[in-house]
Amino acid sequence: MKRHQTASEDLLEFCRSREGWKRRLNEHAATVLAGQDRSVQDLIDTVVSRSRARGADGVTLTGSTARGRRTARSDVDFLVVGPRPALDDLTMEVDVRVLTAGKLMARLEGGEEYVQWALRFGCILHDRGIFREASRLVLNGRLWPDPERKRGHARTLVDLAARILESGDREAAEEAVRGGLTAVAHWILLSNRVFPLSRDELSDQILELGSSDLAAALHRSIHSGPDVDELAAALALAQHALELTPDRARSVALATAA
Amino acid sequence: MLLGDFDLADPYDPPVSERSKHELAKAHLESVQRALEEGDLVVAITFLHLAAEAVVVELAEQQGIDTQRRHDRKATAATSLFEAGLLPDDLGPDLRALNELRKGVTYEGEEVDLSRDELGILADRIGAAVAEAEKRAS
Repeated sequence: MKRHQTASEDLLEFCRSREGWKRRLNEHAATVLAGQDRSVQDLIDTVVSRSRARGADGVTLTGSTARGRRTARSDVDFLVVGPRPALDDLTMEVDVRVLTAGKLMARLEGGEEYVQWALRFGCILHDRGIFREASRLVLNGRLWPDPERKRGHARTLVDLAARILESGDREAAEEAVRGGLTAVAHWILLSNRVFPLSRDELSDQILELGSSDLAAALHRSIHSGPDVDELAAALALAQHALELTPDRARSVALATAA
Repeated sequence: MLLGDFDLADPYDPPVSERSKHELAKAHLESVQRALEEGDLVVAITFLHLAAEAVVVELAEQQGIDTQRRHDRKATAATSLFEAGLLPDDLGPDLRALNELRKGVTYEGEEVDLSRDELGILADRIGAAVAEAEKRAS
């Protein structure tokens, strides 16, 4: 799979001019789509055409597919502004988040991370103007996702992962621990004014901040099948990190938790 | 814990490795019940999803269907199992809805837009599937 963006490239700036925005849409989409397998390209076409047929105001590809960083565990993620397209017949794992235009704006102002991610790094495939308007709101309002909100989600996910691990459902525990570690990484990065990229890029971003143990645990959770002891150790690391300030969590204390 | 102070009501007893997926699903449903009683809808949704997936995977494996650890394939398998008369209800749409719901409430802190009663009805439907899997296993 070809990489099509540098790790830190943020596409918000293009919304400043109409021409810049058009260029972003055309060039970015062409590059992202060219880097996908045929089956993924077909799936993207289907989601966009069905969304447009239902009158969507905007469709953007998000997550690892938009970043050209798909892993064996990746699904294909979209944000649709408008009605939900019917997709139950598709054979690939697709995750579509559907919002109204009003909810999109409200979530940006409320500090939600995912919607900002979609504007900064997503591959916009259809826009009747809503994504440009939303991007201008982020840029002009200097909006940044709320790290404390993320810490709250991370706590929920880590607590759930602990319960699932305790239940003995090994397969589910693996996914839950991965989700918990990911959320902790997002919290630490956002607190340090670094926008989290796709899951596969997180371990490098976290490593750059100095959290080598968390980076290693994240990497293992994505690229190998950790055993139960490794899952428990990763969970302990995540629980420990959540008790610290973001500044301490990124460096000193994590190294002592494992 | 004092010696002999065992919690015999632990739904996750006996040890994990000895349990089948339908036993695991049954234990997950007990977690759902407790969560509903405590009003913790996030935990209820999470374990409902796990229970439904566990029972579908067990029945799918018995039919030689590999769901490849993917949520969409488990949902598709659930519909196939229902059409083959192996599940009392089509859990495919339930699995898809629960998967969406649990991602929204846990990853992004969205509001739970299902009531306790609606989750209870889902739990009953998944419980019927677990009973069916138990019957087949015995």
